[in-house]
Amino acid sequence: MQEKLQIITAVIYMISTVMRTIILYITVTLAIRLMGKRQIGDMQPNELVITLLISEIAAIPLQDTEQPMFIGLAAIFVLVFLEIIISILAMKSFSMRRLLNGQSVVIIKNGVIDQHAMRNVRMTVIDLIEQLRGQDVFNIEDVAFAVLEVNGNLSVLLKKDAQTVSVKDINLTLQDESLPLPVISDGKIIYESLRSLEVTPQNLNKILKHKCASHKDIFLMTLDREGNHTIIKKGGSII
Amino acid sequence: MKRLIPAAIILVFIITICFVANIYVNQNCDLTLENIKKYQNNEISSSKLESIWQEQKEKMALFVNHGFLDKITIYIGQLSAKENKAELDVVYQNIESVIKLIKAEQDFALHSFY
Repeated sequence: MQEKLQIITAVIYMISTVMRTIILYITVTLAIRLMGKRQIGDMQPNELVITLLISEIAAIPLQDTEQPMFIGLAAIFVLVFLEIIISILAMKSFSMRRLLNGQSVVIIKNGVIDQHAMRNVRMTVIDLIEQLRGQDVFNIEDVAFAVLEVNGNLSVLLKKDAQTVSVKDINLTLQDESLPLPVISDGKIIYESLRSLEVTPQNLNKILKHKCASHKDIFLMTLDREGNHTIIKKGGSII
Repeated sequence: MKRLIPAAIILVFIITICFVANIYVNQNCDLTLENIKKYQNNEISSSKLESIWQEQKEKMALFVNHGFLDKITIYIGQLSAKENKAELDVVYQNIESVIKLIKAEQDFALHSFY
């Protein structure tokens, strides 16, 4: 009897942990969606703080089942609300944005490193060289401007003589590129892409008929506004 | 801006729940003490007291630390085993102190913010 009771208690505890995990997962996902889509590397300082806090708060009711879950959920949504308010304020006011997120710092000006600025942002020369290498820049003298952005990325503008030649420089006229969109994925037609491309399903069928294929046999088909398409059949063959 | 509206709705909803929960928990705490007094005065049986508490506990568990509620459950369970008044008073005081802790946790006083 005692053993049975222990098993039942353990099962109830497990079920409550699973339920809590599911609810908190859905809540945190919803909260992050409300905050907006950004990658960790692109986050502003206040967004990073909020994200870290949310993950910490969500962990508390998971670890301590004695804590009512409502407290965790309430804290998460208050943080999301604050984040949205702060981001709106930062969007409306330049001084608010500077206060919350800081401002970009020019690290290299006309090939000369601003050592004072580097000290201010606590950036070492090794960090700078690493970041430059990440931008395919191996000679500091080639840099006209290097700006350390508030999210920690280094934006680099090369001197004119170090820049790669562009189509504009050699006065070539090329047709505008149009974005190819996936119109069939794993045998299923993506009608949203067709609408974006202003292509009717009948036109798509015409292309497929021309290629003697049915949409069900296609793994991936991309199409652009010019009608250029790539078709990969299930099994891997390109037609 | 379009994110502000759902976030504001959720925030208002949560703040409302917090206020309602505060009132609800305080009322239930007082009701529990009343019921225990009724038990002491032989107005209700121990099984009736336990069943009333179980109902209250399930609802209060949404907002109150489960550890506190479990402690009260144990103390209420002990009530029927106590025979003399002095022992009952000790258990009653224990329940009262846990209820005070619950109320302090729900309190909107300044000290609860730090």
